[in-house]
Amino acid sequence: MTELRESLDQALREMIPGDPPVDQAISRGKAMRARRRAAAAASVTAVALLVAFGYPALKHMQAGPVPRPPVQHKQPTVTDVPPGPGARAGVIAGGLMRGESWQVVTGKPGTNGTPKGQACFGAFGPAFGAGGQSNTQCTPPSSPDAAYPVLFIGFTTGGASVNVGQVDASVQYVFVDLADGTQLKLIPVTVYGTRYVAFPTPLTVPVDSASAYLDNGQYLTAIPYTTPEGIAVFGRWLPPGQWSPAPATGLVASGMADGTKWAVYVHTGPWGTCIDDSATLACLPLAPPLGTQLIGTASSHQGVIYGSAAADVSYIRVTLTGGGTLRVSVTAVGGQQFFAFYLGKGQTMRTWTAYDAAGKQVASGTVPASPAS
Amino acid sequence: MSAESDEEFRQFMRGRWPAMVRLAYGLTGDAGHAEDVAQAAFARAYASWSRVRRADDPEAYLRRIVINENRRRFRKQRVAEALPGTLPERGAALPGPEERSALIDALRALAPRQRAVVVLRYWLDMSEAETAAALNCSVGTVKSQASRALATLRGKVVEGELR
Repeated sequence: MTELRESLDQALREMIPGDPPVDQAISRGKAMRARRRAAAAASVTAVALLVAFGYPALKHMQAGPVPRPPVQHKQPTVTDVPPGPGARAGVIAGGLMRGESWQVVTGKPGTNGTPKGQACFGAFGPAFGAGGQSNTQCTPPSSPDAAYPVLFIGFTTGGASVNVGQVDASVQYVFVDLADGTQLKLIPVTVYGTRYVAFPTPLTVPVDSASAYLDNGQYLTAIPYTTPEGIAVFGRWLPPGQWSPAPATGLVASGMADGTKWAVYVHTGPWGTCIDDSATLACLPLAPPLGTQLIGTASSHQGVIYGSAAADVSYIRVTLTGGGTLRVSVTAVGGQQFFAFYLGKGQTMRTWTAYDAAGKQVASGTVPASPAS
Repeated sequence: MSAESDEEFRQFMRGRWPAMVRLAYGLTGDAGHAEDVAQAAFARAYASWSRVRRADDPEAYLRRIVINENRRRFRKQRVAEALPGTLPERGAALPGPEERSALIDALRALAPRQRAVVVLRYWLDMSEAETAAALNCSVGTVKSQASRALATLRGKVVEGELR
């Protein structure tokens, strides 16, 4: 083993370190000490606030899509700036997250393995772990407009959540409020012909809201649904003062499909309606009152179909192409009604009819091409 | 911290920097990451300087910080590796061929914990118990990881270089 030690010593000595970055280490060390002191002070303050104002104060903070006024933090969790002159091609934004640098970039369409017709985004920098660590997310182009001014795509990498948004031409800037009080001002930049903003957050610091300020002086605010993985999903953008439902989560239906379990959960709230089939989370800008409609099929099980039902619907009868029928119950989640059911192999759906509690038909529809086929 | 303490830390860092970067290089297998890990470890040492300088063996204390910093980063890295995706562009340059050797390449091919066991046990001459304590695992794990790592190294390194 002495020879192994000598071989290791020789191999590791091939690596010649640069000059010791003493000043940088001291600067980071000072920041670490300041954060420790701030965390200690913050925990004391939080306890004091809870005692003084109690739970209703916290609950009140969740209501209404009203952005906070801009605030200045001595130690913001995240900073976000657009690329400066001389930045490398493809950079959307960069900054610091907990004192470590980050950049979000997009590849030139049609190059470097970017799938045809899609845009790919990567997150780089020590803020995401060891230097250069990254995960990449690709998406087809989308079309933001004045009603949906920023269309975000989110992904996680290196202990952080990253959001990249395509921005409508009417947006001047976007404020993002994080749960720890940090406020980011995102300036849209045009990269390869598309306007973008981007920001990361530590997985432990969720996004409270985003507000897009338009060139007509108005603004729209979106409160996201935060997935269990820590990704903020923005569904609805609302003007100030517009009512939005309180958050609610429920299991719509579950069962077995070809020997594997399926389940459909719904998360309703200010973000709209998010449907989770355990493989994919689809967030739609649907808000009450929801009509009776088929919404989609589960990506995890192609035969699982889900939809929403109006308040007076008690059950839905589905007619199959072979002539058989299926009775489907509805489930209330957050004051709205949803349903989900499974069609086995070879079964396709022809029509659906919704009935109220008295058995009276209240809605119906046909299915030209079955979502299950 | 007083100017005197700052100067004391500066001296300490200048003296230990090469050894700590090489330790981090052995643990990470990557020259670029090694300097990041070492710098972060020295920053932590600065933040706790009064404790570090009072330790019986400040260098051993610092080694421990480097090992912990590497473990912390490895945990972050695993989150990213578990996710799908390919890189459109590369953010950091990969180490060039001049930085490599057959043994370093073989070390790099080991699982992170096996690499750490090899570096701590056979380069730093730490005992099995010390290695286990440093890596927060059992002595049995150190033994089994060392055995597997040595078998892999023997298979990968040209005979004669690692006898």
